[in-house]
Amino acid sequence: MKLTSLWSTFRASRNFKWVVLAAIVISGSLLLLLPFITSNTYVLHIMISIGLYSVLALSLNLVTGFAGQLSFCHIAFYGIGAYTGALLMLRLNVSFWIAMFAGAFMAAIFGFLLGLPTLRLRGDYLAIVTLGFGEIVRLVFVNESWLTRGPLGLPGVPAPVLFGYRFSGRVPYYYLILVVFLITWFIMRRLTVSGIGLAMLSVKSDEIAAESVGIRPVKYKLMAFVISAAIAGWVGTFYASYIAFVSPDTFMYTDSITVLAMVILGGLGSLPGAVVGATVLTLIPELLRAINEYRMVLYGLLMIVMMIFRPDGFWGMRYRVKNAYKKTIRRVKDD
Amino acid sequence: MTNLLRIEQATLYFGGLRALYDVTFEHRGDEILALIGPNGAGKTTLFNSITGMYKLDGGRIIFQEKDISNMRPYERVHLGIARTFQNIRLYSELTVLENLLLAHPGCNRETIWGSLLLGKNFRRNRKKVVEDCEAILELIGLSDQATQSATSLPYGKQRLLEIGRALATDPVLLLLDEPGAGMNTVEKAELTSLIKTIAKDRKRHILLIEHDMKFVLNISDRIIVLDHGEKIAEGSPEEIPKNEDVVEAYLGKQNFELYSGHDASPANLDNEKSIAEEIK
Repeated sequence: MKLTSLWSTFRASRNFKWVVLAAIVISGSLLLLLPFITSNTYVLHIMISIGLYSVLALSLNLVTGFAGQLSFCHIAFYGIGAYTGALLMLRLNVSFWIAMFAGAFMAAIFGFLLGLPTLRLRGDYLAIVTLGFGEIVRLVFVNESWLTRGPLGLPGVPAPVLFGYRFSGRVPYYYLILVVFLITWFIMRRLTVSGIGLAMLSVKSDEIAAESVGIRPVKYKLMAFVISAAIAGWVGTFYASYIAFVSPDTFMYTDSITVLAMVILGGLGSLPGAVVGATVLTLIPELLRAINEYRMVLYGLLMIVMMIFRPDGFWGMRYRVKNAYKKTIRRVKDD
Repeated sequence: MTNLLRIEQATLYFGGLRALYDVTFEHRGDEILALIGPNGAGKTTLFNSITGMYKLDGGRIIFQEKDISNMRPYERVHLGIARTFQNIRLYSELTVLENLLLAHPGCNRETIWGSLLLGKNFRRNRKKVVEDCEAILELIGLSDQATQSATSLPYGKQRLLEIGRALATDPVLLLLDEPGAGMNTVEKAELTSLIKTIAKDRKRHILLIEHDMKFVLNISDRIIVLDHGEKIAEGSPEEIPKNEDVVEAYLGKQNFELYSGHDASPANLDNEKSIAEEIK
């Protein structure tokens, strides 16, 4: 409570704009210059992981935080993207940049096919279906070995080539994920303040009221599902190329739950929240490596403590910009 | 004869309970039609059938010469039927203004590409949406609270916001489910003039449910009375209070055999009501 009022006083103050601008400039330039500050591959790897998980959390946030649907199969879409991209690059020598969009497209198709019949289900029923779908996808990766080589996985996924330059080392991947992250952020930002975002929020909190003002719930649930799957598939191809190897055990349902935890811990329905959640939950297991056997215990403890003391997450919806929809038309001149 | 809304022999069962039976009436347009009846008479059930939350077991609902009996609720909204809820259903996470915005058809029609690109025409359309909604806020007197959370408003204002949200869908017919519930006398007087303004100046046709008889008789042009899922009377505000069936439905039948010598003065009405319930 106190933090919220402190925030609103700060927000109302004249300095707010400058402080935010300064924070964006400083953190932005730090992120841009990071490879020049440190050449430590471990640090860069962590940063790339944070970027990757931020993109996953941002996209899942659209489904769970905005449209209000509990999905346990986000990693399956990520996996579909990774396998699609890897297979296209390995078997058909397709360029990474095209494979990336093919991965997104394929994941979107599966999102649509899964969503169309199942999004009429409510809450827990949908959760079970998505859990099942995630497992089916993984089992297909394991068993259809003519295509996926089964548990052996697909090694040697090629690196992207940009204007004749072949990616090597962490640095180019770091910049690539930064770009992917910024594009995702932009898409999410524009969508969530639009009529689509408002409709999704209304479906989340009260479907009956939503229908009674002319909003078709299934349409918005499906839209959220497909967009979110596409972005997960997109970043999945990035992952395949970055690790240069895909195998079924990367796409376990536990990873879906980790991403879901990032969204919830960060704050449902909040873009900065998703990024904070992804950052915290990527960093903590790394920082706790020293006490390896107690790592998961502490991880679980953090979740419990968070849910007791800050149930709406680190950066929940209460910090959202009020009437953001109206703010997008500030520059429209009168006719 | 063309009517705005025609309910034809509406019948609905909940398991063995007959919620609506053979209800037929019409909304002629350009009138404030009120639906009254004792608790459990089927008023809200009828509302839910008109808006599509329940599907009728028998009968039809004709809106502007179109059979809408099998349409989904959101499709009926697109045709121009909007409603408010008896138990307020506002979005607590959203602001007062946003509660109206999301109901506006212009806001609902926004596309993915449009929202991503934010072109000139798109923003102009968005500007119109905001202006429309701000005009509604002005009308219901909530302009100053536009950035507040919807559920931080006092109860009476939340009811007004519900009406505003229904108005934002740009309806032809507005269904108000107990708009005055929980309001004090002053608020009710304001509500009466607001509803009259909406009907006359904004040219919306109104069908409302209300318990407060004084309010109903004051506001409505015509009244339909339901009891136990059946229509028992229909008439002007002058006729309805004199109708014997209506008085009986509300107060119960006078049983002179049991209570001979009993006089039916208003002072005894409460007493009589409880007796009527006992007999039931």
